[in-house]
Amino acid sequence: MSQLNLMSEEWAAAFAAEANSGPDASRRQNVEENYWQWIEARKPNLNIVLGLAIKSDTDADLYSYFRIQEGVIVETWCDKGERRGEAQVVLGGTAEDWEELLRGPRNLSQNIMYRRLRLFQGNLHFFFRNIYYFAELLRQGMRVPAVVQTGAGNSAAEAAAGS
Amino acid sequence: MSEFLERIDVVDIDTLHRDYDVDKVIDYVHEGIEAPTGSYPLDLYRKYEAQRWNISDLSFEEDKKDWTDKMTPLQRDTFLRVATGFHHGERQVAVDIMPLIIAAPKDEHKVYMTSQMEDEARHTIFFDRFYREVVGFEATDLMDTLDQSYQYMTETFIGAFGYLAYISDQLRQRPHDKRLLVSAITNYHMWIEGVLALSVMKITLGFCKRNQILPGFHKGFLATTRDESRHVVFGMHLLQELLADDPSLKTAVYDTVVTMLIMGSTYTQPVDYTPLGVERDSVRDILITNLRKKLGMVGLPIPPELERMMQGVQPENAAGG
Repeated sequence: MSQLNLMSEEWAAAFAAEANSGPDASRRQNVEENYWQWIEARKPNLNIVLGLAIKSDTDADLYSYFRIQEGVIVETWCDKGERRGEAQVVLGGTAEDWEELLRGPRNLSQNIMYRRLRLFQGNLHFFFRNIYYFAELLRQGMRVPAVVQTGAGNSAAEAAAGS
Repeated sequence: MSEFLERIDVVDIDTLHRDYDVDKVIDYVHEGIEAPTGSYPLDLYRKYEAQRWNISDLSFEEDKKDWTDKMTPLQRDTFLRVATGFHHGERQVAVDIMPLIIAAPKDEHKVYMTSQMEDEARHTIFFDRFYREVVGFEATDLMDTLDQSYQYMTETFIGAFGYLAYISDQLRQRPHDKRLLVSAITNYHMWIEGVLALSVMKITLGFCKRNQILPGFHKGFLATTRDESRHVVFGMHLLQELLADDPSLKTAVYDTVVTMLIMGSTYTQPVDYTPLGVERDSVRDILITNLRKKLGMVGLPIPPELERMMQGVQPENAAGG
């Protein structure tokens, strides 16, 4: 798969497909079963819109949204923040943060601790009472090869041409 | 409190290391709690002045030999799995305490908390030296040591410590929000320091004392435990004070404890504690007992639903800060 522009419509759709497909075999095997059961137990109450954002100092923020029903992503869309109010949870970081989140060297758990990914909108208790669901959703979705875009330019073709 | 426990206040760290064990220092934490007076922040600050110690005074020469000659590979692995949560925890609290200082209501609270920040920074350096000089990491800087020790961490660490990172971010933006402050103190002083940290201390320091090994670690970490006792006493007093001013804030304590228990009810990799002479269930008992005592200290009863949730806490979440 060619690299897709982060927060583009194509990327959001691919993210949703990966996230809905669950953990890869090695991740599943290397982590205790009780952890996956913990996540499954929370899914029935996860009926929200999740927003992911690349934040900038100017007005060039980019958003992808994921409508989640019982833990499954059922709809995606993107904008520059106009529909941010529909999201119960918005997570994001700067372009530099997303570079780190996508390519490391540190893994997602470390990067959450180090605030590479911040909670820009949403209830802290709700987010953390479902923290491992969100962490695994992101881990799975970020399997999609992506490049970090800032500002305009949303198509996969542009990303491929630039790579 | 007995005279023996009271002397913990004044002994140097060599005496603390030689004459005391972790159980005594934990008793000192719990028995040292009295009704808060208006002067408690500065009383604790003066204790800090009297009890402060230097990392540079410690020697890890014996520890280095013990690590290779007296410990089995299984003991070393378990020790790292337990201690590493503290290594990362100290770094996290050292970095995240600043917004709590800004949000603390009075100057006396702020002054005391600067001493706590210095403690946390010093404890981070303590672990950095231990991992380099005893475990044998070759690291370029503090973060490099943390990156290397991360392999021993349970991933559910992001629960309690991620919460601290995120709430300190919110508190930085809204320093006058008392619900946020109460939640941050419940997360940091009650849960991380008063429940999780005391458990790690008991496991690792008990192992060192019983086997008469790792003297540098025992001396430094027992002194760390005494430092943490000031933090816990301060946190529980400040919570009492805030709840007395506004009883509606009690729900912020309960909400936060419930969040901690939900996050603490799972783990990613199991830890076998038996190489350190500890049974898994006993670690859970320590966690539950510590939480029960902290809630008692701030005068909050434990409703049946909370009691049920407490029984589900998983020992692998023990860490420190």
